[in-house]
Amino acid sequence: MSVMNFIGTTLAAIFTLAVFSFLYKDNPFYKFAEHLLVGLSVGYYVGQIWHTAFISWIINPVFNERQYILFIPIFFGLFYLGFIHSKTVWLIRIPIALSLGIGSGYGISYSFQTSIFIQLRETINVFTQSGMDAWDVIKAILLVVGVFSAIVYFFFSWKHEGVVGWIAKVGIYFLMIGFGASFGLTVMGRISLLIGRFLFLFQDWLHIIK
Amino acid sequence: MNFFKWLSNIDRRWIYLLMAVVISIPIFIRAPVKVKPSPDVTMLYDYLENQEEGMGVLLSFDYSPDSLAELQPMAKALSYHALSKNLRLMGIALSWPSAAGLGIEAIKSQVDIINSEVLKDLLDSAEQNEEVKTYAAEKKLASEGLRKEILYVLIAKLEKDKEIEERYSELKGVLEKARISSEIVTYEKEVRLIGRDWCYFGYKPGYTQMILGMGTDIATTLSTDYKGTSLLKYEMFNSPTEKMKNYDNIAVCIDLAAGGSLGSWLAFVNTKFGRPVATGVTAVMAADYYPYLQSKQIIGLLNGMRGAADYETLIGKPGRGLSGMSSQSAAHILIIIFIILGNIGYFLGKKGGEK
Repeated sequence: MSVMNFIGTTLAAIFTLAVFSFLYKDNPFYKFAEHLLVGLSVGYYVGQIWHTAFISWIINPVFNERQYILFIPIFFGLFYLGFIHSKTVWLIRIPIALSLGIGSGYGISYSFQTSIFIQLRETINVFTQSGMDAWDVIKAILLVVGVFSAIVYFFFSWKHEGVVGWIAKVGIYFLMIGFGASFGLTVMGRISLLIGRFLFLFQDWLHIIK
Repeated sequence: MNFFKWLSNIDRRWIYLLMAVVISIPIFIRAPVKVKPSPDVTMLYDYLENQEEGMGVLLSFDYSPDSLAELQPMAKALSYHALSKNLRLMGIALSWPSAAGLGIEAIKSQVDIINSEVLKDLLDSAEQNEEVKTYAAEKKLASEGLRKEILYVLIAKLEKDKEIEERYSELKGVLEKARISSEIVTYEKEVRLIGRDWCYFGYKPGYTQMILGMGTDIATTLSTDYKGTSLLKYEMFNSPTEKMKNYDNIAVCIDLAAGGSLGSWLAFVNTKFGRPVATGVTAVMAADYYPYLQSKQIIGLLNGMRGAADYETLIGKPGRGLSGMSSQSAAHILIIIFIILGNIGYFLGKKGGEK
């Protein structure tokens, strides 16, 4: 391990321990680590954006490659700076309107297709897949019953009583199972992060284990 | 009853300490754990296994260092698999500027592993050379560090990387004098080279525009790699017959995500361009993406550290994913015990009229 690697790893380990110290109680080491993280993140992001956006997409193309057509988006982009004076603040609306218009135009149709139409089609076609065994059929029934009952639960035009109430109740159970699965995965995720830090401390820093 | 009352009032710091102990013990005793890869992961593995050599695989690093424990092992396992199958690996960071470093670390580490495997004999003979031994003694380099430096110099010769050659100019001279560097040419087709077998684009701002632009022309949209080198200088992007023009040349786009980035990959790459998409996500988000697996909009899903462990098992290269599985199981058992005890205590307390 080179000297720079050792210093970097040791600093990372010290700050990991400083953040862990919050589990005991709030303390100056934790506060220092927290503030340093915020400062470093902002500095790093500014540096990255400066090089990857400003230098790569404005300075180099315009001044080195003479792509003067880029002055048009740059011109509209400069309107974002209108916020510096109350009389020019309205200029911000122009680039925002352009971004929103283009973004919505592209996004809405494909997002609808992706998250609603294709999902709906595959839920309807769930029994038409080839080579389904008994277990696949049970899963397909559960899927259809789950989707149907959960949608009924969120259907508020009818009172949830009688058959509708009964189906909505089934929908609640499906939703609760879904939330339970989500919560279980959240626990798994958080534990994974802790394990990751422990492996870093024992393997990369202390070299206690290989 | 008194035990449960005591348990319900216990200082939470004891629970933290117990959790730390429970997680640490399996790491230290290296508790063996066997993982049976889930079908969601195996689907992606099989898909890559069946790809023709030379097809592209695009990894999108859409996570920041706080998700490193779950997603970095996946990135490494997927990179190793793609490179070892002679698929052309590309990486990009679109959501988080801080992912730029994680992406190159994941890809380069696997390129180095594969190149070390390919050049094992050459590295062994170089290490035994007297002049190289003298160099290592002067620089106080251990075997691992020396082999890494020799590897960098040899690969730099093929990649014509002046920066690396200058950085290790002394070792370069030693290897040339010992006639070791001339032998690297015989391995040229087997080693993985930047611009021919892999490429990392780094962080590119403008998320949706980049995804859409790559559907038309990757080199024009992204223009440079992470080092600022024009993509058109690389064989991958300028070869008249085998270039990576757009998604048509990419077998699968794999989004490694710690946020909502998969939506854009699905909407544009899958729905608009009709190309396969797969994902590796943090466990927290995984439940949201199973519907897309059921509808076959994604061809594989790696779920948190477990997903990484599954993939490491499939490629036969244990890494950080598998290392954490025994601790994960131990922690889950502890949490289940706490949930059971907590509920018993709650109901006994309720029965006894306590609030």
